[in-house]
Amino acid sequence: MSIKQTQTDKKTTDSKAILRTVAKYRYLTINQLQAILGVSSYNQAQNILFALWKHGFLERLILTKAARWITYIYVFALSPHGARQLSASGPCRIFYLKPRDKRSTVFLEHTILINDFRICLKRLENQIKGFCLESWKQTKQEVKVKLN
Amino acid sequence: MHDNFRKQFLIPDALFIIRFRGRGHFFMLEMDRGTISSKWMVARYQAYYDWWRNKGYKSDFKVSSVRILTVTQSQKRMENLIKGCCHVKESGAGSALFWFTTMKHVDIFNPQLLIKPIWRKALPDNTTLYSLLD
Repeated sequence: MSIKQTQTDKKTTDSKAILRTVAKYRYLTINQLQAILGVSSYNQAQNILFALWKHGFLERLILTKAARWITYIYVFALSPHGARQLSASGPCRIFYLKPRDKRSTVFLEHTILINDFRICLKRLENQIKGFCLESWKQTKQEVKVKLN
Repeated sequence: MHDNFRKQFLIPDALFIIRFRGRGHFFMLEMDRGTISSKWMVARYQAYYDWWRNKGYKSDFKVSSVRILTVTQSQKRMENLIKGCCHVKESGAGSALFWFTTMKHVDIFNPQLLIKPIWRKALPDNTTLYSLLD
């Protein structure tokens, strides 16, 4: 195998791992991917996500925050094309967004905060000896509490 | 319970188990952005408390204990919710089932903050801070 081929294979594997990460969290911001991957620069995480978005593997939503300044936060989710890429490596139900799907600001802000909490716990696994996030559930069916 | 609170189910934002030094801790998470009124949130806590008192966590999730975590947007909101939460018991004695902190402690670039003593229990006049791993 040539070096060029090996590099392409590695890139494909890395891209799939990132798509898998996006699928796992459903919605990810650039900051969140930066924290998960442990890359030192925001730009590096941005370039990775933008490249996957430009190739059609991800959908991009824009969350607008108005405070003293208006800020735009990009939120990425798997596209149907990205989901197909992942499902090719094994049968599983994968969450994805269709093109032009919309999500409300309230929903996105809430989801990002929940993901922040989850990412903190996940990162602690590598930082605290003996610490493990054994299980995380957040779909309605999984978390439903029956009241009498 | 709040008169309008007649739901059959509660849907927390997440459930998770952390294991630390061989010991498992089961949590339910409420991420509060202040978009729901305090009154309504307290009604939710009352429902959680009744569910807990009936040992619903054992039948629903097969775990031996549970803590309900709420992360609020501001200190003021947290104080309000703790105050309301103290009335889940008629005596007003509150419950250590409910733990609270604010969003400034959830920092993806400093995750260790989350397990520091930053959590308050819903007990009246108790400002002691606890760690998630206590």
